[in-house]
Amino acid sequence: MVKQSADLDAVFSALADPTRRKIVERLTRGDLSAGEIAAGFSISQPAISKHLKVLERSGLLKRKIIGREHHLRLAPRAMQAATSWIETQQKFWTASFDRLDTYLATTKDEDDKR
Amino acid sequence: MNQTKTANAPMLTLRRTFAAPRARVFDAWTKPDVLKEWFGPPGFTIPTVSMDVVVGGAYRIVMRAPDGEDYIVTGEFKAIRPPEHLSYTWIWDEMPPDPQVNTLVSIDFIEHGNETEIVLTHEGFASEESRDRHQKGWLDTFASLEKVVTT
Repeated sequence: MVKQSADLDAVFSALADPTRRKIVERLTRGDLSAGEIAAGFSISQPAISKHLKVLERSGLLKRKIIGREHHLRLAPRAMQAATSWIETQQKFWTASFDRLDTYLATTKDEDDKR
Repeated sequence: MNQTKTANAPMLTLRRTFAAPRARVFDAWTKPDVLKEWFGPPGFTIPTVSMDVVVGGAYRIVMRAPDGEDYIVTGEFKAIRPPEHLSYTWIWDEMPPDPQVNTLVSIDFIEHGNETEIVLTHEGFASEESRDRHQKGWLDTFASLEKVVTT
């Protein structure tokens, strides 16, 4: 039910930042070089490079260096682990809510007598 | 005042309205005997619940699956404002070597006449600099990610 292998804390922390979420979203449309990523943002190249490092450490990104160019692509495994964790939680809460609803309905009369 | 102080964009927000007064719904989350009756997926039982319902107090819930396997969730209460708000850390007790995922669950109990609406958010721990409440949540990010992952 809750087993996973990727370091989800690192993944969730990495995605807690709006700039990094934007970077990830951009990369869902295709691989990009570090320069191409930076070009889409108004913040400095060093700042972007820091964000890329955080994403890389979390396992969300893979970097390939060809000559002087850094190419980045998304790594599906870390994302899959994260999406499945979220889905598990969602199912957990939804199922619990259903049971709570039933519980509250069946104990209503006892409660009214109190 | 300072409502649920969201450190991160939530990973998950769920809403549900229950046909019961707010105090009863709040009790269902904070009284172990009541919690045992409904917590967890269908077919699960709760052999053990311990909770020290004070800010900083710990809780531990053992959930037993129909196949007999136990799943344990632990954490610490971060905010308690009966009957309107509750938040606690949420950590699945994993079997090593799987890592633990540290998350925060916040629940708002909103009164609508005789009914009570629950707004539950489940989010990751804050650990980094900037945050923007107006940003789209992770769910949107994951929606686009999923397309990539599943193709």
